[in-house]
Amino acid sequence: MWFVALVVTIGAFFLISRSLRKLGRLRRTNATMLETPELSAQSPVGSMVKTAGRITHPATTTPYGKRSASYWDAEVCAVFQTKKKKPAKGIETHRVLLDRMSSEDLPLIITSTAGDAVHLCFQGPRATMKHLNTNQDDHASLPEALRDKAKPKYESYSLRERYYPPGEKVTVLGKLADRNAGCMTLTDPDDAAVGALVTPVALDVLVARNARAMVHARILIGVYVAAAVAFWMIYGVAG
Amino acid sequence: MSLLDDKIDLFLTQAALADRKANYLPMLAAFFGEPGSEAPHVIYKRSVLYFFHGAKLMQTHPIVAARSTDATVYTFDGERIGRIQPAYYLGTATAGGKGAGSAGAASGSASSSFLLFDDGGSSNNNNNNNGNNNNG
Repeated sequence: MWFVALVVTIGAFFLISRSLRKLGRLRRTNATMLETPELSAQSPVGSMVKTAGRITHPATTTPYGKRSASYWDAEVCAVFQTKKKKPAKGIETHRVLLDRMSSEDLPLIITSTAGDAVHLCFQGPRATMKHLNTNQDDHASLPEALRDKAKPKYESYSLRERYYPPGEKVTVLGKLADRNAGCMTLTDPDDAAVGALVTPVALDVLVARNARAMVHARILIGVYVAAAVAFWMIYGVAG
Repeated sequence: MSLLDDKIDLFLTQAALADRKANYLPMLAAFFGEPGSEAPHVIYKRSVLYFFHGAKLMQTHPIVAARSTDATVYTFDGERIGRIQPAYYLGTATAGGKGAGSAGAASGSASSSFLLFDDGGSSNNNNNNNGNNNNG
């Protein structure tokens, strides 16, 4: 019985600490989104800023879906199934990344609502760009350029493209790295814990979503604590 | 040589294009010297020169056989030269010296600490689609 009590206690601690960590991250994210000052002519170089604007860089075409896009990235994966290794039973599905492309080598320029040209220069656009349009297709054969990567064991190939349409309205959070008469450049912040963000969703919508998630996390913590207390009371009475 | 030519010269040297001055100095001088153009500036990224008026891309110029692996981006508005090194800001590059364990933890938190809660996404749609397929 002591053993069960110990396991329940450790489990409750684990669940509560995980919820608390999530709560802290949601709170920090909301604080960053709300408190970061708007980009202005007075913003000091090196500080975190946020701005909204429209992507004005000329559209390119996504490589497989041939959709018109202002930013895109694409992944080609091979998909196949094998039996699980001996003690386990069943079938498992494998995905092998064969190719990854993106338009991140092109400079991405937005016109802010204030009329400034803002140049986005992020190191990890894949992690930074959120809420892109996604378009995934499964094919029996590989695109022409990747034919030499085909193997008999691959059963199908999935092409996944993510993109912003031309002229997409985006909100951007990043570090003002450089400013000259022509344009301002935003990069990733030095503090990796803060991160940069590009999203077509309005920040107040994201803040409201996070606030709702925080309420859920608090309720969950309450439930865990109540369950732990109830267990100890019942156990205490019984023992 | 005018002051503008000096600055263009410096920009080309900075961007490791000094050996192509003969081609690009007159081109850049003409671009910045054009009367009435609004906020002209140049971005040099992955061995391509992009010419902008404000946020509007006017023309691009790929420079053949230049070092396209260099991630450094140069911006130039006729006055100031900006040098942006994205790799410098990458968490893993700076955390590398602190030992493998802490570096891994730092880069892990880098991608996850900015937490956006998504309600309703493409994954839900996929599930619905799968359900439909099974029923049919």
